[in-house]
Amino acid sequence: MPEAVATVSTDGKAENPLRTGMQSERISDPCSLVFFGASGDLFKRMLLPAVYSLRLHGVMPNDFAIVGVSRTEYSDDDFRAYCKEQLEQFAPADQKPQGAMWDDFAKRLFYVTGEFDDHKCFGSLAKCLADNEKNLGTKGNRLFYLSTPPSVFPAIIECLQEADLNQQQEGWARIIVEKPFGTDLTSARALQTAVEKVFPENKVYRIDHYLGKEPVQDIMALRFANTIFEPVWNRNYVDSIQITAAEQLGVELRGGYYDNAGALRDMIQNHVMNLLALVAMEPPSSSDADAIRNEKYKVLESITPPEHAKVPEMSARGQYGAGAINGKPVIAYRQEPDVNPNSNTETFASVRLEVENWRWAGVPFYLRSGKRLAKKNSEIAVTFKPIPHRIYGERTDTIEPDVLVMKIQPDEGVAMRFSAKVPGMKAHIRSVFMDFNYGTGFGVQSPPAYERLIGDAMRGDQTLFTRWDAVERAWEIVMPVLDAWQNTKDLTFPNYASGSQGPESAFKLFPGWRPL
Amino acid sequence: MSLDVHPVLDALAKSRQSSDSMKTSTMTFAIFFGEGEGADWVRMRTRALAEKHPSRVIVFDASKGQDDRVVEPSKTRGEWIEIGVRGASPQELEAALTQLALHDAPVVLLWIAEALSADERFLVLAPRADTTICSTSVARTDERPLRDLSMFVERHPEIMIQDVAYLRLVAWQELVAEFFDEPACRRELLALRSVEVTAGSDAEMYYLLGWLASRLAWTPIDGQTFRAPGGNVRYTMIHDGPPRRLTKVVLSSEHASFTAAVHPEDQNAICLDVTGSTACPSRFAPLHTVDLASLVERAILARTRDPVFIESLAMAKAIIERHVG
Repeated sequence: MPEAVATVSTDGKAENPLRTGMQSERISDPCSLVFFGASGDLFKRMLLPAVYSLRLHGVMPNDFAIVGVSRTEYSDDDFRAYCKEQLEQFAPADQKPQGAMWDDFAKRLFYVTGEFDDHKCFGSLAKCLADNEKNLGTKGNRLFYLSTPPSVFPAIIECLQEADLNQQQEGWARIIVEKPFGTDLTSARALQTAVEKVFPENKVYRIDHYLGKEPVQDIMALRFANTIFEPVWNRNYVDSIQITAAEQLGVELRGGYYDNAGALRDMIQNHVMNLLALVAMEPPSSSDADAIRNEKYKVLESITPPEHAKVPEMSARGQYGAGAINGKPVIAYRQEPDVNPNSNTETFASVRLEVENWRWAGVPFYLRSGKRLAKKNSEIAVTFKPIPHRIYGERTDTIEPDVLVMKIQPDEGVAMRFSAKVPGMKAHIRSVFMDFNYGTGFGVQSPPAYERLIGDAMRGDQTLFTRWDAVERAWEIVMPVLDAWQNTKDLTFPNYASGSQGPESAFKLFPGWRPL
Repeated sequence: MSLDVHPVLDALAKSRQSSDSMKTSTMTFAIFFGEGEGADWVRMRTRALAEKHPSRVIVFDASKGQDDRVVEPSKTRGEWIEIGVRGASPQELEAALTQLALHDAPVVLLWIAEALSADERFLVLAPRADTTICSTSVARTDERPLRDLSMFVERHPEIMIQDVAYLRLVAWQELVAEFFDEPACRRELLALRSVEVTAGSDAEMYYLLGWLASRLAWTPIDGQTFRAPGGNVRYTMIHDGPPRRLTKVVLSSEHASFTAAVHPEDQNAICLDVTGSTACPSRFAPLHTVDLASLVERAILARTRDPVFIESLAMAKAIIERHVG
C-alpha cells in the first residue's frame, strides 16, 4: 500500500490523502475577484474574457465571485446582462456564454456602483464580499484589480484600507495594479508610498501584460532550458543587442492619454526594459519568483542612467507625420483626436544603454519603440561578433555576423542567421535564415497574456509581475532622457513619415538597426 | 510477404526537397489500429494532436492491406503516413517503425486494439517506444482490456505506459479530492460507508474505485465490499451513459453524502453537491480536457511513470478479481 495512506487521521488535520501524488496542478484558493473600472474598455475586452476562459478551463476555483466596481449605475442583474453582451462580442468563438457553466458564472457576478473615493461605495463592497464569503464559500480571499485610470489608484487604495479590506484574519488580500505605475520617478514613488502603507510587497502584483505573453516567457526557456546559448551569451561573443517594439498603429482613441505619456513612458520604461532584463540577466538559482526578480533587478542596477549632457548622443526621438500604412493614407500625430496640435510628445523613442557588469561590459543595448512604423514587429536581436579570421568565401563575399532573433510579435518564434556555402565549385558564402515559429512549430494559440497573469495572481505567483525595486530603477534609468526631452522642444517634429522606418536620428544613433 | 516502406521513404524525401518551409518535429507518433479498430474519430483526434505537436505520424492500420498507403508530407505541420499492415508480422512492423522513425526524436506509440499482452505485435512495438499509450475502453467496454494491461505492466515494469482511460479520470479525481480539502469534511473520508460509480464502460469505473481504494487503504473483500480502516465500505458500479465517460460518483458516510455528476443539460459541466452534516451550496465545475487529443497529450508530456496510476491499476485488478473472478 502507498505510504501516504498511513497519514489519514481522525482529527482532520492531516493532508487530504486523495491529493497524495496527484499530478494535476492545484488551482487557486476560493476567492473573490474585485475589478475597479468594470464598466471600462479593458475590463470588457480583456479582463472579463480572460476570467471566463479561466473558469471554462478549470483554472478558477469552483468557489468564486466576481465583483465589478464602477461609476456607471448597474444593478447586479444589469451587470450580468452587460457581461453576457461583452462576452458575446469579445470572447473567442468556443467560449461564448452559454449552458450551465455560464448560468453558474452569472450567478457569481455582482456589482457595486460608486465613486472610487466614496467611502459609502467601499462599505457596500465590504458587505458584498462578506455576503460572498457566507453564500459562495470564497473563504475571505480577495484579489483587487485596479483597471481604472491611474489617477484614482491612490484613492482606491486608501479607501480599501479604511474599509479594512486590505487585511484578513483568515484568507489573503492581494492587489493587481495596472500600468503605468507612475508617470515619472516622483509620481511612481508617491504611488508606491500609498501602496506600501496598505499592502506589503508580497501582496502587490504590478501588471505589465507584455510579461504574460508566451514569447516573452520563451526568452527564459531558450536561455535556460538549452546549453548551447549560454557559453556565447556574453561580451566575448556578442557584439550588440537590439530590442524593438514597433507598431503600425497610431494613437487611435488614446490621444488624450498618449499626449501626456509618449513612447519613452508608454513602452521603453516598462515593456522594453523588462525585455532587456530578461535577455541580460544571470541564470536564476530556481524558477522561484524572487530568484528571477532578483536577477532582473541586478541587470537594471548595472545600468547607469545617461548623464544629462550625454542624452543627445545616447538617444533619439521622433514624432510621426502623415504618410501611408499598408497603402492607405494616415494623418500626422498632431492631427489625431485629443492631441495638442503643437505637441512635443515623442511617438518614437530610441536609447542606447550599457549593462556594466562582468558579462556585458562594452556591449551596447539599443532599444527602440515607435508608432506608425512600417511594420508591427517586436523582437530582440542578438548580433554576434564577426569571425576573427577569414578562411572561407570568395573575395567579393561579405560574411555577415551571426544573429539570433527572438521574435515576440507578430510571428512568435526564434530565427538564426548564419553563414553557409553556396552549392557549386566556388566557395561562395551567403547568409541563411533558420526560422522557427511557435505558431507553426506548435499548432496552438498561446493563452492570452491577461489569462495567464490573472491565474498567476490568484495562485499567488509573482514571477511575471514587476517588483517595486525594478520599477523604481527603470524610472531612474529613463528620467534623464525624459527630463531632457521635456525641457527641450524638438523643432524637427514631425520627423518621420507614417509607414517609414522611423526618424533619421535613430539611424545616427545606431546605423545597424534591423529593417522592420 | 514483406512490408516494403521504401516507396514511403522516397515520397518523404521528395516532399522534403520540394518544400520551402522548415520542418519542426517533436516526435515520431506511431499509431497502431488493430483489425476492425481503425476508427475515424481516433484518426481525427490524433490529427488535432499532431497539429499541436508537429510530428511524423505513422499510422499502422491492420484493417487495411498493404496497397493502402498514404503519405501526406506537408498538408499538416508534420508528416502523416498511413500504411495498411494487415497480415504483417511483428518483426516486419518493428523494421518498418525503425526505418520510418525520425532520428533524435522520441517515439510515442498509441495502441488502439483489443489485446495487449496477448498480441505479439504490441510486445514487439512497445519496447521500441519511449512512451506507450493504450486505451482500455476504446475497443471494448468490459473489464478484460484492463485486466490485460495490469498483467502487462506487472511483467514489463521497464516500459513507460499510460492508459487514456485512467487519464480521463484526472478531472474527476480533482473534484472528488476537493470535497475533502476542508478539514471538517476530511473526517468523513474515514467514515465513508458506500461508493457508487456510474460510467459507460468498465475501465473508468474500476480505475476510480482502484484510485480511491489505493489512497484510502481499502482492500476488496468480495464483489461488493472493501475493508477500510474505519469499517466496511460497500461499492456499486452502474453501467450507464456513453462509453468512455464517467457520469456520476457518489460517496456516502453515515452523516454526509458527496455527489459529483455530469449536468443533465450540459455535458461540459459537473454539479457538485454535499448533503448532510457538512452540507454546502451546490457548485459547478467545468469538465475539461477529456477529449482523446488532450489525454494523449497529457500522456506524452508526463515522461515518467505515475506511481498513483500504477497503484490504482494494481488495485483495480484486485477489485476485478473479487468482482468478476
